[in-house]
Amino acid sequence: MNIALTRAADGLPRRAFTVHDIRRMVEAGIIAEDEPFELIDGDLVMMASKGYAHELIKGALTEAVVRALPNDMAIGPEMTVQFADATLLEPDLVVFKRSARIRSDANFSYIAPGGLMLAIEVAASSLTYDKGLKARLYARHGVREFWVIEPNERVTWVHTGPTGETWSSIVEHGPDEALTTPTLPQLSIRLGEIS
Amino acid sequence: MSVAVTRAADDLPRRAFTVDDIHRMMEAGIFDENERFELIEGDLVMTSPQHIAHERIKNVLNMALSRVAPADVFVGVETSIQLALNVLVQPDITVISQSVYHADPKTFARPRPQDILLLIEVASSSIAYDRHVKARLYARHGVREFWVIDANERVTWIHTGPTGETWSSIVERAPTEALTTPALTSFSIRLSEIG
Repeated sequence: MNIALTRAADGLPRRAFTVHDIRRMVEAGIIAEDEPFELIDGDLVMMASKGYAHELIKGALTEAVVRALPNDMAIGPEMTVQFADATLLEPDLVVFKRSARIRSDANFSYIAPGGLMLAIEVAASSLTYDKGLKARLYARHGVREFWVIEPNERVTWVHTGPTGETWSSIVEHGPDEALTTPTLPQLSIRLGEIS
Repeated sequence: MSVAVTRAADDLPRRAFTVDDIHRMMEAGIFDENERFELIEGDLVMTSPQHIAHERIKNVLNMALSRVAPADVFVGVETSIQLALNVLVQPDITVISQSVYHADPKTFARPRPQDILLLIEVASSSIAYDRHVKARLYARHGVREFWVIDANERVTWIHTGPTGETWSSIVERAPTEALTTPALTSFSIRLSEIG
């Protein structure tokens, strides 16, 4: 599958698609279900293929989160989550309250407000994208905690306290510092130890 | 229905759509009947309703061109033309060989460069779009002559000699200067004379 990308109409008013449009495009075979895209406020953004460091960190984090997962929480690796009528995101990892999982009208996974406890993005092509636009989106939609990880340097930015489109706290952690979260009391991981 | 527009993912790699995708989206009922957009190298750009300054010039040009057009030439207003697999535009005025319509009625008109005698975009809010994005696009697809008209100032930029993504000549004409084209030798109009 070879999907073309475009930046031709940067700055111009582009047609905003909704999750219902996406569902119909998938049903009509216009886009494939496994096409790696996110819907960002109506724009379809294609995601880059992930390199070795990205998958190494993501894999180790997923294992650690699974081991530390309380019974009332669920984990979604690369789970497509509907955040709004024109926003579908696929974080590398999400942890959410089991009871908050809802099937949306467009047949996507929606997490009830307050239920999405932790989203983790391991940056691929663009750290700026994850620390900028993605951070704003997760804050806007009330994600409790958001980690952005730079997989080569193994640096993590822990965002907490979503308020509007920003975070009341963003703390940078080096590879030798233990990453912890109130959502998963059993979890403690040092990215520098992953090999 | 009001369709939302977005600029959310400026500078990000967006999913490029093809004219074939557009066909299938139309069949799948994704677009409202009255939605107006252009496909610019894979991006769907919404076009907005136009004020009187724009419409007056467009309609006068249409009538004046139609009066002198030979029998085998159409003067189209906002007519859809497909310039590539991922380019579908509706210039304000299209002077085009009627032969392009001898094709499958369920397809879009697909003129070759020699089928297009003249394209005109009348710009009010969209001058930068027409003078940059559209001019580059029309040059790339070998359009022989392209006019951009500032509807408010009634200034015209006449582009001729498409070479790659640029034009070998771009001449600015004041409102009082006569506009002529080699494509229709008996045509001449001064925008300042439009009431």
